[in-house]
Amino acid sequence: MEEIIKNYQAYAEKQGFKLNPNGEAVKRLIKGLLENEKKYGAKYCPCRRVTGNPEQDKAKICPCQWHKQEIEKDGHCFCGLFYKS
Amino acid sequence: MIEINLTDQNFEQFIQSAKNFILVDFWAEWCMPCFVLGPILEKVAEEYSGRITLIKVNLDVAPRISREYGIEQIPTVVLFKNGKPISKFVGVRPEPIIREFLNEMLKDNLQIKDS
Repeated sequence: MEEIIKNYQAYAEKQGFKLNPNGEAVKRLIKGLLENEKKYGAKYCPCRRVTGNPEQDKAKICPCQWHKQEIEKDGHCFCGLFYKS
Repeated sequence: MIEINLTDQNFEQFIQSAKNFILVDFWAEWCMPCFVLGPILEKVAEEYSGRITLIKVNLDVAPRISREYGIEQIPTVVLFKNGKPISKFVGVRPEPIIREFLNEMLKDNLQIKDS
C-alpha cells in the first residue's frame, strides 16, 4: 500500500497537483483500487461502475481519463484522491 | 432510522410497491465520497420522514439494477415516484442543497416532520 501511495504521490507532483491531505481517505481509496484490481484485473476508480468490458473500462483506471478536468473544475478529482495544489 | 439495503433480487418489487417517494443512494464500499454523503442523506431523509424513504443500493450486490438505471459514478442519488425515476444528482452535496432538491421535487404537498 505504501508503495502505491508513493507512486500516486509522485505522479501527482509531476502533474502539478497533490494527493488528498487526509491520509485515511487516501488509504481507503487505495484499498478500493486494490479491491478492484483483485476483482477486475486493474486499478479501476472505486467511484465508477466497472462494466467488466476491459475496452469500455480502460478510461476508468486510476488516474482516470477525467481526473485533470475534474481537478481543474472542482479542485479535486471526483473520487477525491487528487487535489489541486 | 432503519437502513434498507436492496439488491438485484428485490429492488424492482420494493420500488414498484412503494407509496412514498423513494430516495435511492447508489454506493459502494470503497467509494470515499459515498461515506461522506451517506450520513448527510440519512439526516436529511429523517427530516422528510413519512414522505420519503431512503434506501441504499450497493453496486457490488446490485450490478444489474445499477446498469439498468445508468449509474456510472457513485455516489448517485435517484428519486423515484410511483416506481419511476424522476430526478437525480451525482456526487457529494451539502445538506441545504439536498433539501432544496427534495423541496423542489415534493413541492406540491410538502410536509416536513418537525425536528
